[in-house]
Amino acid sequence: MRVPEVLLDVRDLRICYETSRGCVKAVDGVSLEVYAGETFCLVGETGCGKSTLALAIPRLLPPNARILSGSILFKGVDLLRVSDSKLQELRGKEIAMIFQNPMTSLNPVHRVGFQVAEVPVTHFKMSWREALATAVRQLGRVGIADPDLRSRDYPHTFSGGMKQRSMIAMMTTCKPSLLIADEPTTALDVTIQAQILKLLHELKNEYGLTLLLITHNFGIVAEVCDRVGVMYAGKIVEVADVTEVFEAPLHPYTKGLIDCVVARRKSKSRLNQIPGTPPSLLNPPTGCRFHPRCAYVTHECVKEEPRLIEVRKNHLVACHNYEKVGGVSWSS
Amino acid sequence: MWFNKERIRSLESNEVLRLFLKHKRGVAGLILLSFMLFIALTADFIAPKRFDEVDPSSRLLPPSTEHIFGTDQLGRDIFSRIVYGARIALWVGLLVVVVEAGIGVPLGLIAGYYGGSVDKLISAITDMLWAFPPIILALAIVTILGPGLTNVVIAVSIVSWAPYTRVVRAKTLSIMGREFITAARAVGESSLSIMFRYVLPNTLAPIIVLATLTIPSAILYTTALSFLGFGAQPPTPDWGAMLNEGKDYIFKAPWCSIFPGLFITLTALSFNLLGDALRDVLDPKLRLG
Amino acid sequence: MGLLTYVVKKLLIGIPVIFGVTIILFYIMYMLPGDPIKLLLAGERVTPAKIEELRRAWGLDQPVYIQYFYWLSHVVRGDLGVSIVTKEPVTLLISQRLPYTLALMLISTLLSYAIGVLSGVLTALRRGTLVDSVVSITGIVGYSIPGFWFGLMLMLAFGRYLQILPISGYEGPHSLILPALSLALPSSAYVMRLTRAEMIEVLNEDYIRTAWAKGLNERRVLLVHALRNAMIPVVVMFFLDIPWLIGGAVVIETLFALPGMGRLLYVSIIRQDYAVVQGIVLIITVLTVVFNTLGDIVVAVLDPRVRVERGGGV
Repeated sequence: MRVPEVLLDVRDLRICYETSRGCVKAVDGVSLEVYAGETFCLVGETGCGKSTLALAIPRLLPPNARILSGSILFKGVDLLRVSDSKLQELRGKEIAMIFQNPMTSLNPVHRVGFQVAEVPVTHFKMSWREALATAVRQLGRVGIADPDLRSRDYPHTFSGGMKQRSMIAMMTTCKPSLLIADEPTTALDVTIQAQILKLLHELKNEYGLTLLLITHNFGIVAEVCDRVGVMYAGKIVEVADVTEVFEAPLHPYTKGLIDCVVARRKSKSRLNQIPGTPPSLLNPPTGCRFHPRCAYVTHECVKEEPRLIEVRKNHLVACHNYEKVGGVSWSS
Repeated sequence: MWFNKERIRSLESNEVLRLFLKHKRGVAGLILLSFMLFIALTADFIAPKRFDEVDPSSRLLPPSTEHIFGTDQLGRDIFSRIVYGARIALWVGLLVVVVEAGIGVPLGLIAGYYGGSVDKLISAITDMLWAFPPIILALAIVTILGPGLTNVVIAVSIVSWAPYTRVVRAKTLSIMGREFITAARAVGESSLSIMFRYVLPNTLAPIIVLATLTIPSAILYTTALSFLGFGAQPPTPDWGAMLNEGKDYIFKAPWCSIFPGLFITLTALSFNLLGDALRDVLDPKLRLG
Repeated sequence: MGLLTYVVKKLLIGIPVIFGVTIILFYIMYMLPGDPIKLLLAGERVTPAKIEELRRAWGLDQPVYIQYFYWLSHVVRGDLGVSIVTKEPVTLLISQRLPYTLALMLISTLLSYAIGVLSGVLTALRRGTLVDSVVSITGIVGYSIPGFWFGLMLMLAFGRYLQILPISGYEGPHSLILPALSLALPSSAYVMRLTRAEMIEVLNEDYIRTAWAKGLNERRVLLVHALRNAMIPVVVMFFLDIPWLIGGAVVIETLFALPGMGRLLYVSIIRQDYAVVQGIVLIITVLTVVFNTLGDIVVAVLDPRVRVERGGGV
């Protein structure tokens, strides 16, 4: 078997937000590898730190965020330590990012075509005429009808889906190696969600890029991902291939999430849910952070934090009792 | 906003107080304002002389231990006049704001509550008023009414209630869609009762902020009109009128002009500092003008 | 919706506003004590029959609203009446003074926006630093100082110590420097506060993050994406500020004895020269409406969203 090339290697990353009530650790010791050419999904509930992790990669964190420790190696370069100018060369050209809210992500006072064209002008030193032509082509590629005409329009005349398509056009003109999509469909209508996902999937194959998809929706995971990382309260609790995660989840939290989806699909059984709410990141629980909500909790879970270990081939989990979890399948 | 999580502020008084006390400039403004209030209230005790006590033998004396701010062209003690002037400035500021709010708030409530053509009419009047230069309009009104402090207060109030209508209207519109209004209507509350018992309390925060921030401009307008000679008439120790008299002696006795202006600035500053802090604490998204 | 349609709509809205302004003004003057014919004659001695004739000629025997249209028809033809003091046409008096006022406003506006925008952007970018605190506090203080008192202090400084600039009357363009400074001070503080607030708000917007994510350099992010957007309300303020500035000009021109329109207004009020007062107030309010309309149009040019959002309504 071919050894996969590691494109993005996050090591022991710790990020906190300084707030008036103290330091909120949004990402607490996360390590993660993303292989070239794959679609990696980072899944978790709102507020688990997955967006913070995503924003940290191109260093787009808000000013009150502090990176406490760790490194983010992209093609062997530590993104947290390169100069600003080097980083600017990488952003948009090698590492591109799409955000959650397309409604506010485009500049309202500039024409859509101009905003797309800015990218090749910056990175390929293209002339404006050439870049605008590229922009029109790219807008057409992502499915904007009449791209020549629409590229001269302002964002407010676009629908949410069209805005997200324009964002995708903007971020893929330079055919980046890594495309980070932070909940790209959350703000959109359900019908449009599928189209946008399909578009991302197509572009990934067409340009051979690596897709890091952040989502809270396990349905999306099942459809497009190769591998999955599950985050809970600032930590990665499980990483595995998508089939493995669905067939044999080893972390109680992952299992709970999947049961929610499956229960809904079966639709006859009553809605499954994980009891309790996600913990405060200001004062996280001791030991395993999931223990207050966990059905498999033992004394060890309260006292000692489980480490993320490879328990099967390409399957990492952070749970003291994963054997018990893995033993009971949802289908029984 | 891509990072500031929507800050939801409850109007619980201890939370507001806690946030306010952390606001250094706001506290500075409050201290300054308390000082002005103190001298205004205790003027009878701290002023060494009466504000109209003329002393021909000590005209235009520079500041000294006897007259710490000097004396004016009639030999009146400037410090005493300033202390009494604080009463006028604060009273005028308060009065203007009360009149402005008295006109502007009900109009804003009505416009926001009824909407439609009523709203259009009120908004049109507000916009038209907005188009007039305030001092010019105030001058025109003073021309009709004649000079005097009361007339200046009326003139300034008439020309500057528009912001209250705008702010209250906007706030009312945002409240009208909420469930508790629908509920109040459903149980048969009258329009008047809904407006004053349900809507008005929810517009109080912006009104308080607006009032604090319009007091300094009211003081600046009225002193400007007094400075031109249309406001308070001698021997009233109005700071603007003092500047009007003092400007003729600007080289011979600059203290006649320096101190009244300094106190206008300090008073306006105290309200501006306080108002900024109140806005930050009560209604960070409030936009004025 | 096209920009042109929007502009035409805005211009059409301006017309009723000017009408409203003339009605209010007419009533203010109508309510004034004194006989308008005597004011019109400016002290000339004429027979009662002649007065009666004039009364009919000016339509003063007609109902109020007819009188208004008589007056308006004169105004439209550029006839604002005659000063009772100098016996000169009001239009002539105003046209002699207007250039000084416009020059004063132009200089002070340039000054206040140059100072205000630069310091506002600086403090927004250096938010939370010592520079920010110092400049911001200076701004609040500047905003609290009465312009006329600041002018008085300038007169004191330049008249007594630095005798390099004229402090009273008009001796040439340099006579406008101190008045312009006094007028610009409160205004620049206001512009600074607005610029800072807008800039901070825009820098927090999602599209600024997008601009960074595209790999644009700092200069491009700040100028093309942030400043361009933050300046929209500041430009609006520029046009809406005009009425405040004219009001300030009355006080400042009076203080510095400049032969401008503001001082003419002050002198006319003192002399109860009502025809002149009415003429000036009319000119100023019409100017204000024109600038407000211009402001609306410029905003529409700068911000494509406005043409849709506010295009349809009043």
